[in-house]
Amino acid sequence: MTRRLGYAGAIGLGFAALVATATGCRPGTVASQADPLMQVFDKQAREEGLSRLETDGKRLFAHYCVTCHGETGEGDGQNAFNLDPKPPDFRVSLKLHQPAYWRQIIEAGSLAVGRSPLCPPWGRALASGDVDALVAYVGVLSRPASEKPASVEPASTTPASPAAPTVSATSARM
Amino acid sequence: MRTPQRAAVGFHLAFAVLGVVFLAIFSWVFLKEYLTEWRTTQAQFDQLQRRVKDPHALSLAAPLGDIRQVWLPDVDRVDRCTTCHLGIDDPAFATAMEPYTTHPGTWLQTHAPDRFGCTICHGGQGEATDFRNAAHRPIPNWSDPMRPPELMEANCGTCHRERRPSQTFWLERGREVIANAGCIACHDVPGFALDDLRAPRLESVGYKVRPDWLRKWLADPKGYLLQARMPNFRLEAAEIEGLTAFLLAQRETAPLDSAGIDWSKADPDRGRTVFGEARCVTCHTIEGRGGTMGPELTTVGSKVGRDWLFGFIKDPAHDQPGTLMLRYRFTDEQIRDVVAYLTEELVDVETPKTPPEVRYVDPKLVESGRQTFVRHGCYSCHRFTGMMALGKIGPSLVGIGDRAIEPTDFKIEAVVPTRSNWLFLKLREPDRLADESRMPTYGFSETDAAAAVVALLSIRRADLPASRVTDQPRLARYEPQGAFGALVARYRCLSCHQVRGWGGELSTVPFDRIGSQLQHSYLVSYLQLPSAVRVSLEERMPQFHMTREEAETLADYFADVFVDDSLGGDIQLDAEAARRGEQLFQTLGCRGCHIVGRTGGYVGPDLSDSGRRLKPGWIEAWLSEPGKWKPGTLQPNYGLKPEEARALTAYLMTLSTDRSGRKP
Repeated sequence: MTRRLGYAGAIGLGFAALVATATGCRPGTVASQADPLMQVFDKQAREEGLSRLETDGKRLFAHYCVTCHGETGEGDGQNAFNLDPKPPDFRVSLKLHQPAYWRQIIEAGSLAVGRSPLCPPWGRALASGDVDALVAYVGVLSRPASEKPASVEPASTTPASPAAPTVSATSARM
Repeated sequence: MRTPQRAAVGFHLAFAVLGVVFLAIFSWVFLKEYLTEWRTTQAQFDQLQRRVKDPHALSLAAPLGDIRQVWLPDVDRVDRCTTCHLGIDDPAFATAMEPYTTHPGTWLQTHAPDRFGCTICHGGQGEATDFRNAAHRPIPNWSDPMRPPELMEANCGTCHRERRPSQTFWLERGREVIANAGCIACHDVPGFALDDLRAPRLESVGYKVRPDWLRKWLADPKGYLLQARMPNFRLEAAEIEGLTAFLLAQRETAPLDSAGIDWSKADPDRGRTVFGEARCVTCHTIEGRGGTMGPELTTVGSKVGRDWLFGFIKDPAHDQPGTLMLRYRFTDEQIRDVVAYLTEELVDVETPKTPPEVRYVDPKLVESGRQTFVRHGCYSCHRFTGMMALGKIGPSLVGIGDRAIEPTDFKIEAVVPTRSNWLFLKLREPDRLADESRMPTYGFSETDAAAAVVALLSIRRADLPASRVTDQPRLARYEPQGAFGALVARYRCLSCHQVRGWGGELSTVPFDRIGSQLQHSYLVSYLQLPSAVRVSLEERMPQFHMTREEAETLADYFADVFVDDSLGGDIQLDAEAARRGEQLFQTLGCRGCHIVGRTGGYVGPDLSDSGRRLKPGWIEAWLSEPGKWKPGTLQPNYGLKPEEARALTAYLMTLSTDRSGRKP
C-alpha cells in the first residue's frame, strides 16, 4: 500500500516538475527601483511634449526656418525685420489652411501658392520624411500656448513612486 | 510478504496512471500549439486585412498560418518579428493598431527588412514568437531587450561609425561629448584618436602660472571656469601642495626674452584696441562673450605671469608646439600693450596684485607631487617628457556596450541594474557604484551624460562584417610644406579651416576648392585686411597684420593647388543676361537673405562686392545645386534652369563696391 502511494507520488511529482519546466519560472521585477537614464529621456520628452517626428521637425525648423520665422513661429526671427511682407504668425495663419497647403509651401516655396517669394522652396534640399517632420512640428506651433503639451503636463513628478511614471511614459513611446 | 500477483497489480496501476499522464501531456502540447499566441494574432490580422483590402489585393496577399522569419547568416540572427508584425511594410496598415501597423518614417526604404531584419536596430529576442519572450520589455536572462528610441540610436552607432551619423541626436551628441571630454587620453575608445585631445604641455608651466591660481585650479577647475575641460580629481590638500610644488618646478624652456621691454610705457587702452582689432574674441571669451577655441580670459591677469604672456603672444608655438593659437605679426610695442591690457584689466579682484613668492624648493614635496601626477594619470592629457611610455591609465572601452552588469555592481539597490544605468551613474555619480573609481568627476550635465551613454553602448564586442559598417575614413594629417606650409603653420589656418576633411570647423570656408571660388586679387587684399562677408557672425577671420608678400604667397598657392576643374573658368556673360539676372534676383527674393548695397538680409553673405570677390564658374555651380557643395546649407535649391543660373551669375558679377566706377 505504501509502495503504491510511493509510485503515485513519484509520478505526480514528475508531472508537476514537467509542468513547472514547461511554464517556466517568471520572477517579477522589483517595482520600487528607479531608472535614472530613462528618467533623463522621459524628462526631455515630457518637457517638450513632442512625438519623435515632431522632435525631428523641431531640429529641422531650428536649422532652416528660425532665422525668419522665429523660435516659436510667431514671425519674429532675427532676419524678419528685413522682409516685406513679414513672416506670418503661425498661431493665426496656419488655421486658415490645411497641412497639405503647408507642405506645398515648404516644398515649392511661398511663390508657388501665389504669395511673396521670400520663403524659398526646400523640396529639393529636404527628404520627404524631413518635410513630414516639419509639417508635424509646424502643427505644434500653430496651437496657442495654452494647448501646447509642455504647459499641460508640469515637469514635477510625485517623489513617492519615482519608477511608476517613468515606466508608463517610456512604454507609451515604444 | 510480496506475491507476484500483488506486484503485477502495482505495475498495472502504475502503467495506467502513466498512460493517462502521457495522454494529458500530448493533448496539452497539441492544444498549446493550436492556441499559440502568434496564431491568434494572425487570425485577427486576417480579419483586419479583409476589411482593409479589396478582393484583388487580398488575393495577392501572402498566405497566413506560418511562422515568418528573416535569416541574416552574416550576423548570426534570426528575426521572427514579422510573424506578428504583419503589416510592417504595407502602407495599407498605416493607421492600424500594434502589432499590425506600418513602420513609421522611411526607415524600411533605407534599411530593407530582408537585409537588416528587426533586432539589429530595435534589440529584443528575434527568435521568439510571443510577446514576452521577444523581450519587448526587459526579461531575465536576455541582456539585449528592445530599446526605447533614444537608446536605439546606440544600435545605429554600432554600424554607423562616422562621428556624426545622420538623423541621430543622442548618438551624435554623445560622440561629441566623448571627443571633447578627452576620454581617449585614459581609455582605448574605438573610433576616437589622440588627435582629438587638447591640453597644454606642462614642461615649462613653472614660468607660466601663479601659484595661488594653480592651487585653486587643481582643487576645482570648474570653480575657476564653468566650462573648464579639466575634470575634478577630488585631490586632498596635501596632494594639491605636492602637485603645485612639482608643477612650479617645471622650467624646461624659458619664455622668449622680454628683458628689453620698457613696461613703464605700456598702455592698456591701446592694448585693448589691438586686442579688439585682431578679433581675439573669435576664440577667447571675456565676460561671457566670445569663442571657446582658446582659454577664457576674463581673469587671465590673475592666472599667468606678465613675461610669460609676452613670450607666448610673440610665438605661441615656442611654449606649446601643438597650439591652435596663431602667431600674429605684432610689433613688440603692440604685444606689450596687449599684455598690459590683459594682465592689468582682466584680473580677479580678490587675488592680490603681486603673486606670492615661490617657496617650494623641498625636493621631497616635489617628488610627492610627481607621484601624485603619475598616480592620477595627469600625463595622459598633458603630454610630458619621460612619461610617454606609461600607457593608458583606464581600462579599454572595446566592447563596453556588452559589459556584463550584476546587481552587486550598484551600491544602492534602488536603481534598475542595467548596463545603461551603470554607465550613466559611472559618468554622473560614481559614488553610487560599488567599485571605488579613480575616474575624475567631469560634472557632465544630465543630457550630456545620457548622450555619452548612448555613444558608449554603440561600442560592441563582436566585430561586424565590413559590408555592414559605414565609416568616415580616418584622414592622414594634412601638413603642407614649403613657403605655403610655413605660413599655414604660422597663422594656424587649419585651426579654423578645413582641407581634405582635416582641420577645424569654425570657418564656413574649406580650402579644397577656394582657388576656383575666389578671385586672386580679392584674396590678396582680404588676407591683409579681412573684412566681414557674413556680418552677423561673431566669429571673424583674425587681423593677422600679414605682409603683402605673404598674402600673395597664399593666394598663389590657392590658385594653383586648391582648384576644382569642374568649375568652369571663363564664362561668357553679357549685359542682356545680367539684366535678366537682376530681374530674377528680385523675383526669387534673394534680398531676403543677402545684402546688396545698403539693404538686404543677414542670413547669407553680403553680395555687394561679389563681382570682385567670386569667380563666375563657382557662382553658377553653387546656384545650380548648393546641397552638392555644402550639405545642409541654407542656400535654397531653386531648381534653376541653366540659362537662369547663368543670368544670375552675370548679374552678380556686375556688383562691386569699387567707387572708382571701374567695372570688375
